[in-house]
Amino acid sequence: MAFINKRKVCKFCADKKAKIDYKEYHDLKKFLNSQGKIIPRRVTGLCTKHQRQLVKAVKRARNIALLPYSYNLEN
Amino acid sequence: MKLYEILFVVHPNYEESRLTKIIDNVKEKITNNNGNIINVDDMGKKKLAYKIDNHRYGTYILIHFESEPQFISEFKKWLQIQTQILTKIIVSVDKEDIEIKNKEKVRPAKVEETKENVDTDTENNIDDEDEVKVEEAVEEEVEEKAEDEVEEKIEEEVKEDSTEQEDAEEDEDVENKEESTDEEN
Repeated sequence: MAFINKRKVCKFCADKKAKIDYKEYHDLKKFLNSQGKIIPRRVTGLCTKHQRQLVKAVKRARNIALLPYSYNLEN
Repeated sequence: MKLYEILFVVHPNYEESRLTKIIDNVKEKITNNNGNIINVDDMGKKKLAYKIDNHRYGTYILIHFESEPQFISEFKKWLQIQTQILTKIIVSVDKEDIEIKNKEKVRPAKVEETKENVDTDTENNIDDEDEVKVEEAVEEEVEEKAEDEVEEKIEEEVKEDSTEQEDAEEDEDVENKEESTDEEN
């Protein structure tokens, strides 16, 4: 059995036009789970650089109430 | 001088003239401290992800500006005192980011489609205008050949034509506005 490389390609490295911006919260929602937590790099398949930018953007969006800190709390 | 971007949320009860007053106050604060305002964008009323001071909604306003770094801490303190502003965030940005956003305010995936639509629509409008002008020219030539007594009537007709043309232009303006709103959505 030969080893098959199943490693995902980073979405933002593949498409250089797509930028990570905290104001575009609809795009950021794809990287949150049902609780509103940030999905880990192991699952999203992003590279270190872009995952770091994503985390920063999500935290900024939470700060300005575009994204919730948690979906479980009664708003 | 550094480039900054401020996004702040205004109290939902403040609308139209009262909202513009608040925006003008913020602008004045920046300009009085040797800053330049580059771009102001009203992102509209949105539902907040969580309650702030028991408010569920708020109007988001984005301002790009240029100022000295020392001013920012003072500016933040001043914003915190303002009761109409619920939250704010100030971020330093690159020049390239602002230029891109001014050109295409929609997400990059949708931009190509909307741009194509706009181009085709504007071309059609231009064609229509050309046709109208040609028709008018033909009419004028025919009328010139007619007798001198009719000249007064011709002038009246020309006036009517001009009014019609204005109406057509207004219609086009309305269409353009609709296109712009579509792009924003």
